[in-house]
Amino acid sequence: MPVMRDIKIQISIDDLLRVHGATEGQVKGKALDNYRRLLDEAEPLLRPAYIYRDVSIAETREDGLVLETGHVLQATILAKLLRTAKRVYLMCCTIGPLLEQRAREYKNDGFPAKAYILDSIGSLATDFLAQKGCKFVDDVAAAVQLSTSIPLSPGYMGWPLKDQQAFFQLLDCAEIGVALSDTFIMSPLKSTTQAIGLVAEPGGKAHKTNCDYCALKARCKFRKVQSS
Amino acid sequence: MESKEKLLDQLAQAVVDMDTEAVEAKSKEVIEAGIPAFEAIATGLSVGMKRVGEMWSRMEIFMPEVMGSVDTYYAGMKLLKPQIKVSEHATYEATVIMGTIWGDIHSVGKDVAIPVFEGENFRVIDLGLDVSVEKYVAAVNEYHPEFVGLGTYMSETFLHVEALVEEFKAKGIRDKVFIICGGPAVDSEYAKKMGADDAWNDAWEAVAGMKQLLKQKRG
Ligand code: B12
Repeated sequence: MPVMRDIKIQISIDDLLRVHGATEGQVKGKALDNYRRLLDEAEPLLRPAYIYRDVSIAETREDGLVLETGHVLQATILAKLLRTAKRVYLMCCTIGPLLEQRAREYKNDGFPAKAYILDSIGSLATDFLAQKGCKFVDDVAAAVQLSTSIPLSPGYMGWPLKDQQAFFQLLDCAEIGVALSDTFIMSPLKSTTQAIGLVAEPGGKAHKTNCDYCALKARCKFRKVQSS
Repeated sequence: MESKEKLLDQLAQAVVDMDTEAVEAKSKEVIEAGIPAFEAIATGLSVGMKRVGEMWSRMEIFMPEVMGSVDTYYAGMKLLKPQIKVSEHATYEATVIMGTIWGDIHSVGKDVAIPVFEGENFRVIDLGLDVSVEKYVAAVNEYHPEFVGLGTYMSETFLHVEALVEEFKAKGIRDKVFIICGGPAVDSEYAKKMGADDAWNDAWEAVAGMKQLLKQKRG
């Protein structure tokens, strides 16, 4: 099963400040230095890897998909967005356990804010990796004149978390060091799963992002599009 | 020797200025001067955090500055907390048990909310993440808190609130505590429907609401 490890994760100070609601011009002195130092500290702790598999879709039902392997992915949003798809890429990615460990050490030593900033760097790194995965599937799709759906994950948009089990049955996640608990939590925590369909609609995502389908809308501080 | 008021004000200001060295120096002076540690936390360090919260609410500062102050605040806590005498404990606003509910790993919201609560003079016990109902029950029996704070960051895990409330009822502890929820997916009305007392997706709003709940209870 293909595994990708050789990925350079790039996170800028602007990205980091943005998820904390600020820009470089707004933050100065000690606060800014603190963020820069932690960004430098985080970089060597990242151990990015993702594993993926391309699975054929045997049947599209109103409330989900049946895969060639017999697994059923139970989510209306999948059925809706992958209705023209014959194949779906399932992926699991992780940045490894080291950053999380360092953040825990900071927390235990009485520096919860440093822990929080490192945690945010980890989340950005996880997101960066997931987007690399999307880009990879985009290229595969383009080569066969198809396009891709937005990435979907159990836990998002009404897709029950229990379907994490299907990912773990279909992907050898142990190969990249990721395990699933019986409450469907992945460890290392900075890991994500995603399903991306190869769809026949020209334009595919048609400039839509996950935010267009998410129920949080204005309540979300991480929203990519701030329009209505 | 500085006057007590001046010393405590300098402690508060050092938190606002993110000046860890000054906080440590002033905390040591406080201890040497024999000022009760709890008083120094409540009317020094915490006042600093409160000012930071107010500046944040007025949008005068940004999250990175709040973060700088949080670690400075804890540098002072590290020195002062061990000096608190048992007899001083009764003066906390209330005790809050905090944990991310089972099935959920999102911890950041809880970790940001905790210093805000501590800065407002609440005693906080952090149970960590993916916390089972049994752990919450055991913590209620051990710490006798006024609040049980549930970090519920996903729609699916927000629904676990109902199961927790039922278990609390079965164990006879439901009416002893306020059950409150936090996270981006919470909805106050829905939380109440599930048997909780309230929910907020902002830690500072939560503090105001928690004080309101305490006021109603204490009359
Ligand atoms: C960062 C993040 C992650 C990080 C985790 C970081 C961490 N340590 O927490 C990573 C990348 C690992 C992650 C993974 C996943 N995530 Co995620 N994640 C987020 C994200 C983008 C931000 C959360 C955050 O840090 N917020 C910042 C804090 C400060 O805000 P807050 O939580 O609201 O907290 C404030 C208040 O609510 C309040 N508060 C907080 N707690 C409490 C408690 C009490 C009692 C009170 C009174 C107040 C209070 O105080 C805070 C300050 O004001 C959210 C999107 C979002 N908008 O929230 C998704 C989100 C929570 N994730 C989601 C999902 C589904 C997942 C995954 C399950 C996806 C997957 N299948 O791979 C995985 C699970 C990974 C695993 N290990 O199993 C979904 C949940 C969907 C839903 N609505 O149900 C969200 C909402 C994304 C989305 N738009 O759909 N995630």
